[in-house]
Amino acid sequence: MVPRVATTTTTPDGRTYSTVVEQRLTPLLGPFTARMALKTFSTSKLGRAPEEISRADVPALLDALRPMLNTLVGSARAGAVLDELKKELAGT
Amino acid sequence: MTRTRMAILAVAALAAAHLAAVVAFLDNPAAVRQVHDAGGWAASLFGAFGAVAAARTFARGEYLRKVWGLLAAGAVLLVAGQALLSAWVHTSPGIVFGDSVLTYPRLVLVTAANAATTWGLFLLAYSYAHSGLNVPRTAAFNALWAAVSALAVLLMVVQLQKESADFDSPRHTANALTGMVSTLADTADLIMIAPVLRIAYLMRGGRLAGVWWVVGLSEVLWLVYDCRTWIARPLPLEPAQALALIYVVRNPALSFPGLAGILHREVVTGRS
Repeated sequence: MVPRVATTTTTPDGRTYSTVVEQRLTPLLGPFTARMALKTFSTSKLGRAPEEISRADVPALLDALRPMLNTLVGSARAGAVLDELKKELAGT
Repeated sequence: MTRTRMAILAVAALAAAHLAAVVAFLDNPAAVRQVHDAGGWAASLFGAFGAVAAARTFARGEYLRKVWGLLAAGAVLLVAGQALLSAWVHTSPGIVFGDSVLTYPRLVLVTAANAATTWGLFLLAYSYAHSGLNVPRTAAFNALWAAVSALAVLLMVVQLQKESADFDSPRHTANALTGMVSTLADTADLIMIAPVLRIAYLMRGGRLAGVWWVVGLSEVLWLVYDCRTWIARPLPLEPAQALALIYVVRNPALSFPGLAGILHREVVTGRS
């Protein structure tokens, strides 16, 4: 079986980078707001749709999400969530 | 059992105990007054405890520190207000509160509590937009918001007419001003029910949603409390008994901000 080759917008397990971020935010913000946050900040800060986010865009996307998370859960929890995401994406 | 579940059970138990005690003493107005006093103490202390715990969760300068700091200040001042009412219940059973000297400090407490709570609620309702998220309001939401706002304004007009009639002595003036300040703040708070519940709806399925649901429900209960004379009329009970039963909603209305604070703290600290 030939392993799936990751494109620039997908992780080795085949999920888009935006999906990974959305799945991490969903338990906290709910599915609608997690999706809305990705759409809002990938469009406004990176100038592209969430599904077009590449591995290279991830640090900028996480930085863009930080102020929103700071407002809704405080800086400590925001930092923890973003650190978990960085760790999850580090090996991709 | 998680702290979140313990907090929910505590709030439910407080309200259930209050209701059971009112039902048990429904034919005894003096006992019902004592029950309301005890229930008010327990609920307002719980409300203050949870709100202060939430405020202490966030670092200085953070948006939510300001939100919960204001809600906590309002809740603590409500405890002080409860102490004044309690002092009156226990020391002057035959005197109308408006004739009591306690009406002056109560004016100060109520004004400060309402200012803090209303500003805190406004900031909580604005938190979603402040975070940079922007979801256009639907026509259904706008209709609901307009209906609740109209009811709040109607309540305000009816209540202000009652309160502005009694300026014949300094104590009565202070008492009337207390009522008017409270009414104006209630109107502002009730108008914010829909925006707060909308945030909860937008975050449905997420752990944070519970915070906004509970604060919004607290305001809904205050709306029921403010409409109690209208709600009591069609009930098949003596008016005083119906009012005594509806008065119980004040218990969860006071304790819910504390529950919301504990929920927020548990989400932020990652324990829920």
